[in-house]
Amino acid sequence: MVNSKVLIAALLVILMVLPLGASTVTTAQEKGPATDKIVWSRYTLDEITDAFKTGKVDVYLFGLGPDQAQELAQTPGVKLYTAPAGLNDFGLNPAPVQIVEVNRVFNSKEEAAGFFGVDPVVIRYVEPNADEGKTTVEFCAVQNNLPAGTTVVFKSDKFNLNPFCFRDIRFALNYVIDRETIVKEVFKGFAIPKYTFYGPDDPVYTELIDVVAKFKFTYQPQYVQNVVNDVMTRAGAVKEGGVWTYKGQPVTIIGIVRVEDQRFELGHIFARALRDLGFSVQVQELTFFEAIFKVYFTNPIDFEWSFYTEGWGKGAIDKWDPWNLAQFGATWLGWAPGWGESDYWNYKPEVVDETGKTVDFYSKSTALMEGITSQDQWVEYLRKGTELGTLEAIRIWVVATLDSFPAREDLQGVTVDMGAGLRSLYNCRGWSIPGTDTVRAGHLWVWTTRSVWNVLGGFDDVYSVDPARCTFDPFTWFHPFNGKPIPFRVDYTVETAGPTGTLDVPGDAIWWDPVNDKWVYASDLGKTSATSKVVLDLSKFFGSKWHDGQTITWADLLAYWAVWLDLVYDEQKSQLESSIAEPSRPTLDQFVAIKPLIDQNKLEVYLNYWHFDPNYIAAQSVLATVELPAELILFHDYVAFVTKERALSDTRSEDEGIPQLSLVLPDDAQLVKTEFQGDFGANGYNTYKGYFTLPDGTTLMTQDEWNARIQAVVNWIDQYGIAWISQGPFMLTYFDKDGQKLELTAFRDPTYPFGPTDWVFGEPKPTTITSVIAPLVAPGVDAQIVVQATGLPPLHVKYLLRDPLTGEILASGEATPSGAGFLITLSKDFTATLEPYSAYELTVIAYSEEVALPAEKVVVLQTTEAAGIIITNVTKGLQDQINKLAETTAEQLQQIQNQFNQQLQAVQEQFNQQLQQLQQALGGQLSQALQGLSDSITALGNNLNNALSTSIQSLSDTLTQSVSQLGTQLGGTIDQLNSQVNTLAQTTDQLSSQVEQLNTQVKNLGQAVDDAKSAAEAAQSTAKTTMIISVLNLIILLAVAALILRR
Amino acid sequence: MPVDRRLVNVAVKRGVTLGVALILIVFFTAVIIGATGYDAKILNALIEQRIQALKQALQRKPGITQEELQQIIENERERLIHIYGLDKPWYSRLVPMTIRTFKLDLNVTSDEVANIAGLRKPLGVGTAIKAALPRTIIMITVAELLAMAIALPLGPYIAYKRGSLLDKSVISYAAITNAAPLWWLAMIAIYLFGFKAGVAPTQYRQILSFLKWDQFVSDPLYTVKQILYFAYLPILVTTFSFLGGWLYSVRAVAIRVVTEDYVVVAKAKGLPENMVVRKYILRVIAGPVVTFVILGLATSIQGFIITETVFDWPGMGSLYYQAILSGDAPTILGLIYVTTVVYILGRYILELLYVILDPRVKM
Repeated sequence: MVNSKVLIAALLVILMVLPLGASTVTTAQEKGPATDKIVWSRYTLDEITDAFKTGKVDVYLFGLGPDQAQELAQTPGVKLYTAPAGLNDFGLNPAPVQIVEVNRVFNSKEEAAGFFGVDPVVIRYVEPNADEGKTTVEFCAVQNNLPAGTTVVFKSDKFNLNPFCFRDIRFALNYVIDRETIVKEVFKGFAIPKYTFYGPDDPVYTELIDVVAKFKFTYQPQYVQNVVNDVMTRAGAVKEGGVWTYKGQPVTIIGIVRVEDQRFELGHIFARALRDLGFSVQVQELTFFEAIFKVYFTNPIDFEWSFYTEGWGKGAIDKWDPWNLAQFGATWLGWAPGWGESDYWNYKPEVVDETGKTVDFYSKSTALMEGITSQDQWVEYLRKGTELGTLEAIRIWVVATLDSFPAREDLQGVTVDMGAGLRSLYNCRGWSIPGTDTVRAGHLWVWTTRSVWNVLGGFDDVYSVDPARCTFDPFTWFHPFNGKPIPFRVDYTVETAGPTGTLDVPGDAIWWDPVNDKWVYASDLGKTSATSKVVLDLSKFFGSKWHDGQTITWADLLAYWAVWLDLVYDEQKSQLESSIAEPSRPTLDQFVAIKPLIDQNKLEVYLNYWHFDPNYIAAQSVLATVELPAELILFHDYVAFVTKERALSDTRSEDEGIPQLSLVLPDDAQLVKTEFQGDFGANGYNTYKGYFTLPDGTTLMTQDEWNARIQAVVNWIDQYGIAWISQGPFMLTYFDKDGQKLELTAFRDPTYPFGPTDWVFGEPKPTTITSVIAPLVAPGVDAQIVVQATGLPPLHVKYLLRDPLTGEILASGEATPSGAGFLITLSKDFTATLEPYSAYELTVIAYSEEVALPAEKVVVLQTTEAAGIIITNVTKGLQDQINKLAETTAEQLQQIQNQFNQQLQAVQEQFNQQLQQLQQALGGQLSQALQGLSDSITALGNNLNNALSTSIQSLSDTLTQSVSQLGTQLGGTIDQLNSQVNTLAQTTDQLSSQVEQLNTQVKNLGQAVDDAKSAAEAAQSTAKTTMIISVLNLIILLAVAALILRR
Repeated sequence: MPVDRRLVNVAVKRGVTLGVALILIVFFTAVIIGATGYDAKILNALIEQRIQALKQALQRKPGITQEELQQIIENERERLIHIYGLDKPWYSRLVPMTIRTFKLDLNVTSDEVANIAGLRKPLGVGTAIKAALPRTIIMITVAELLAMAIALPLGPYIAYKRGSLLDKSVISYAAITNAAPLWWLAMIAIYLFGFKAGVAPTQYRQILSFLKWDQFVSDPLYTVKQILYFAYLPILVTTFSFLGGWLYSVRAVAIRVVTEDYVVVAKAKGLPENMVVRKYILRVIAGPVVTFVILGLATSIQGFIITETVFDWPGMGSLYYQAILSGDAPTILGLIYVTTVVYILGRYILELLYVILDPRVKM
C-alpha cells in the first residue's frame, strides 16, 4: 500500500516535471527568427526623419540620399548603415562627324591619314574590307577636299568637329574631374570615388586592384588643357578668344543634365570644366523621360547630345561579375553609343592590345565563358578587358553612390549586405529590439501596382520582394559580403567534367515531358550526358512544415519544378505567357535531368553548365526555390491556363486585360478559396497527379494528403484573408494594400531548421592597413617594406609603385605574409633602376577574400642613397672641424703654457741673476741694482703681456677662423640639405632628425668654443696673478733685504 | 408662365453651348497630346526603360546567347509598343480615344497613376477617378463647405461692422492665410499634432482602408470613427486656410451693399442687426456669393497636388500630377473630361440660378 502511494507520488512528480523539462528544452532551442513580429508600414521620404526623431519607426528599408542621410546622421539614437547603391558617370558621344568610303584598303589610321593628307588624330576609325577592296573611314573633324574615289557616306549638318570623337581627349577628361571634392561637397561623403567601371563596391575588384590603381586619375586640369590644345591644334582647330573654333564655327558640346538628383550638380561641374577648356557648352536640364529619349532614342551621329549624366542602379553583388565590363566598357552588349541598334551608327573599340584584341574579345569571353578553362584565365581576361575598356573612355566615371539605411541604435541582429544594405534577406531573421517583441519596419511603399506576390511572373519590385524574403528560405543564397553563392536551406556537393568533358546521366534520372504532362525517364528524351552534377541535400527542407502546418514533401518540389518546366516548354502556355517563358528558356535549356534519391532526401541535378567556382554550378542547379506548397503552385497553372481568370505576367495582364495573380490581395485570396472549395479542390488531384508522380508510377502525394492540404489553405485564408503560405521564418499574417501595412509573425514550428542567430553576419569588417614601414631605398640594394593589416582572414596585400611625375607603373605585385606582417620585397636589380634622390608613390592595398572592402594607403618611397652620403659627409666634416678645433686649441694652450713657462723661467733666472748681483754689489750699487731690477721687471711684464696677448689673439683668430669656416661649411651643408629636403618632400622627418643632430653638434661646438675662450681667459688671468705674486714676492724680498741692510 | 419659358429657353440654349464646349475641350486636348507627340515620347521612354531593365536582367542569366537575347528584347519591345498603342499613328487614335473618353472606357497606362488610385492594373480611368474623387471630396470639398458655412453668415456681419476690431482681425487673418501656402501649414500641423503632440495620425494614407463600402456596411460606426480620425486634421488645416479668403471675399462683396441708402435707412429705422444683415445685405449679395460657392465647389474636386503629397493623401490633385508626369494620356483625358463636366454643370446650374434669383437676367 505504502509502496503504491510512493509510486503514485513519484509518477505525479515525474508528470509535473516532464512538461517543465520539455518547455525548457523548447526555449533553449527556439526556432525561427529573433523577434516575434515585424510590423511593416509605409513612410514617405518627407515623413521618415520625423518618424525616427519621434521614435515611431525602428528601421527604414528604402535607401536614403545624401541630404536626408546627413540630417538623420545627427539624430541621437539613430544609426546609419550604408551600402553601395548606384554609379554615376558622364556618358560621352564619340560619334564621327563624317564617314567616307574609299576604294582602297587601309589597315591603319596612319595609312588612311597619308592618303587623305590629314593628321592621323583626325581619323577615329578605319574599317577595311579586303574582299571588296574598300575601307570605311570615320573622321572626327569634317574634311572638305577629299581625294577622288572617295564617297561621303555621312556628313553631319550639325557639328563639323566632335571633340569627344578623339579618344585622347576623352581619356584626358578623366583628369578634369575632382572626384574627392565631388564626394565631399556634392554627396556629403555618401559616395566613393570611381575611376573606372570596377571599384571597391564590386567584390571582383580584389582581382583588379592593381589594374584599376593604374587609372587612379587625379585632378589635373592643366594636363587636360595641354592634351586638348595638342589634339585640337593637330585636328586643325583654332582657339580664338579662349574658344575653340573649326572652320569658323565654335566647337560645341551639348550636355544633357538630369535634374532629379545630384547629377544636376555633376552635370554643371563637368560643363564648367569643358568651358574652361575652351569648348562652347550648351546645357540642357532634363527630366528622366526627356533625357532618355534624347540619349537612347536618337542616332549618336545626329548629335542630339554630347555628354549625358548617366546613373545606374546597382543590383545584387556577384563575386565573379563580368557584367560591369560588358555593359560599361565593351560594345558587344549594346550599351555603348549606338546602343546596338542596327540602323544607328555604333561605336567600335579603338584600342587594341599587343595580341591585336580589343575589349570586346575579353569581355565576351568572361561574360559568356567562351573559351575559358580556368579561374586564372578568366581573371586575366577580365583584367585585360578592364584595362582596354578604361582606355576606350566612352564613359568618365565619377562616383559609386551610397544609400543610407537608418535604424534604431539598439536594433540587434543586423546584417549589412554589400549589395542590398539592410534590404538583405538576412536581416529580418536576426532583427530584435531589447524589451519588445515587435520590430517596426518602414519602407517607401508596402504595395504598389507592381507589387505582385506571384512567384512565376511577379515580384518585380522591392516592395514585394523585401517582405516576401522574410517568409521563405531560398535553397541557396549569396554571401552578404562577397556575393559568392552559399548553401541556405539545402547543402550541396558538386562534380563537374567541364568545361569540355561530360558525365553520364544515370538511366533512372527523370525529366519533364511537357507534351504528356508527366515526369519520364530522361533517357527516353535522349538526355544521356551532362557537364556537371550537383547533389542537393534537402534534409532541412523535407519533413519540416509549411506555415499552414502541412508537411513539406517530395511532391512539393516535383510539382513546383514541373509547373515551371511546363510553363516554359508547353507550346500553348509558353505562348500565352511568353514574357516569362522566353527569357527563362535559355537557362532551363541547360538542365538535363534530375534524380530524386527519395530515402536520402537528396536530389541529383544534371546540367550542362560549368563555372570555375563550383558554388556557381550549385546555385545554377537550383531550377527554382520552392516557396509555395504544391497545391498553391498548381493553382497558378490552373487559374492562368485552365480558367484563365488571372495572368501570371504583367505583359499578359495588360495584353488581355485580366489581373495578374497576387496571393496577398483579398480578391485573389477569395478566388483561391472559391476554387479550392470548388472544382480545383475536388478535381485538381487527378488533373495534376502527373506533376508529382515518378515514371515508375510512384505518386508522391495521396488524395487524403491533397484534401488535407486544400482544407488547410482554406482555413488559412479564413483566418488571415491572404493566400500566401510559405516555409520561412516569418508567416505573412496581415496585408492591407490600402492602408500600406503588413505584419509578419514568427514561425516557431520545431521542425523549422534555423534559429534566431543562424543567419546574422553583422557588418562587413573593412580591411584596414595599420602601418606601412618603408625604409629609405638605396638604388642597387634590396629593399623590404613591411605592411601590417587587419581584417577578416584570409588577407592579401598588393602593391603598386608609380612614378608620380609620369604616372608610369614601375612595379606591382603581391606582398608575402610573414611574422612581422606582409613583406613587399624590391630586388636590388629593380631598385637599381630607380633614380637616386627621388620620391616614388607606393600604393599598398590590403583586402580580404571574404569582404569586398579593401584598404588602400599611399606612401612615399624615398631613394635616399645620395641623401645618406650628404649626411655622412656633413657628419664627417663636422667631426673633422671639431677635431681640428680641439687640436688647435690644445696646441695654442700648450704654446701659451710653454711661453709662459719660458717667460717665468726667464724672470726667475733674471731675478736670481740680479739677486746674485745685488748680493755681490750690496751697498753702493743698490740703487743701480734696483733700477736694473725695475727695468727687468718692466721688460718681463711687457714681454709676458705681449706674448700672452699675441697667443690669445692667435688663439682667438684661429678659433674665429675655424668657427667661421665651420659655419660656412655647415651653412653650405644645411643649404644643401634643405634643398634635398625640398626635393625629397616626404623624408623631412628623417632629415629633420639629422639636422637636429647637426644643430646639437653645432651647439656642442659653440659650447667647446666657449669653453676654449674661458680656458684662455683663465690662463691669462692665472698668468697675470702669478706675475703680480712674483713681483710682490720680489718687493717683499727687496724690502726684507733693505731692512736687513739698514739694520 | 414667362419665367418658366425663359428658364427653359436658357436651359436649352446654355445646355447645347456648354455641351459643345465640352466636346471641343476633350477633342482638342486629345489633339494637343497626340500632335505634340507628348504621350508617345513619354511612353517610348517608358518602354525603353523597361527594355533596359529586362536587358540587364536577362544578360546576367547564364546560357542566353546574344541572338536569343536580341530576339527576346525585340519581342518584348513589340509587345509593349502594341500595348501602348504606339504601333499606330496618333491621329488614328484620336477619334476612338475621344469617343472612349466620353464613355470613360479607357485604361490607365502608367503604374504611377495606378499607385495613386491604389488599385491594381488593368485599371479603367473611370475606376481610378472614382477611387480618387471621394478622397478629395472628404478633404478639400468638405473643408470648402465648412469655410463657406462659416464665411457666408460671418462675412456680411463683418462688413456691416466695418472698421471694427473684428473686421481688422479678419483682414489680417485673410492676409496671413493668403500668404502662407496650405501645404506649408499642413507640414507644420502634421509635425505639431502628429509627431509632437501625438493627437493626430502621421500616416494618412491609411484612411484608404476605411473608404470602402464593404467596410462601412460591416461596421459603420467604427468606419466613420476611423475616417474622422484620419480626416480631421487635413480638413481643419484646409478649412483654416480657406476661411481667410472666403471671409475676405464675402466681406468685399457685402461692403458695397452696406453703404447703400436702403441699408443705412434700415439701420436708422432701428431694425435689429440680424434682420438688416439677413434681409438687406445677404439677399442682395446672393448672386455673386452663389457664383463663388458653385465655382468653388466645382474646382475643389481638382484637388491640391502638394498638399495631397504632404498628407500622403492620394486624391485628384495627385492623380492629375502623376498622369501628366508619366504621360498617361488616357488618364489625362479622363481627368480633363470629368473636371470639365463638373465645372460645366456648375456653370449650367449657376446660370439657371441667376435666372431664378434675378428676374432682370436675360441669357
